[in-house]
Amino acid sequence: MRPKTQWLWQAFSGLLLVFLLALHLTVNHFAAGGLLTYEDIVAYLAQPWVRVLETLFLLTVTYHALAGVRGILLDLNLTTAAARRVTLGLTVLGVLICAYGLWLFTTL
Amino acid sequence: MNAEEYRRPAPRLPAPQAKEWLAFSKRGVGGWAFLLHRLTGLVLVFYLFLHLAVLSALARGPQAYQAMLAFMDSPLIVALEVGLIATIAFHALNGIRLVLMGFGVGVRAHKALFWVAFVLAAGLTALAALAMF
Repeated sequence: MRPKTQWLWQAFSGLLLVFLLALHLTVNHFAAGGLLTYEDIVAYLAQPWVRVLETLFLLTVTYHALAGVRGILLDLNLTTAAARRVTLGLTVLGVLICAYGLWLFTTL
Repeated sequence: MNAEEYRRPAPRLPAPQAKEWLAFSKRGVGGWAFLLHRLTGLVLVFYLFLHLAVLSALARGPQAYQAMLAFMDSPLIVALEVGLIATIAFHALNGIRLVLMGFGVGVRAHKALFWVAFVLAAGLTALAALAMF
């Protein structure tokens, strides 16, 4: 992916996160006047549109976070081989994080 | 130019030193914004892992989750959460500023926009702290 395309994806995912994170924080932490109980979370995630939004949030935040780490590491003028290893490692990590997050949804 | 000279690879740029990130002198508003954006980003990446680890209590059932909630109810944890809100608010608002800069919007006002992001983040943090304590 070209650096300009990467920047656009990072900008787009960041702007999307502003909306998704505001929603996530409001519903999960502020609306109930504190953290939700187990039963509240189960009831909240039982709504299909919530699952879609929370899944989108998980995918977006994971991409944005790991692409940001990659950008910082690539700024250290890594060799091409090292940069490739960083990209591969962060991609694998991202897939594992998303798989874990999605698995957590299935346990509720 | 002979063939040996032609094949010589271009010298790589010197790698930025970590100490340059943390240098206090010769750092303008843009430099501070850059440093704060990266540091808050790294804090948030660390928090993402921590958050997912803590949420594993959900998979262990209602009792484990209730025990985690009881632990999270301490003033120290709430104070750390306020710090987290400050980190998120600054990173998000400065990120919007960076997107504007990237599209050439308000480039000449980038210093003023940094302070707008900073003050707005402080205001949002104060509101969140009032709601949380």
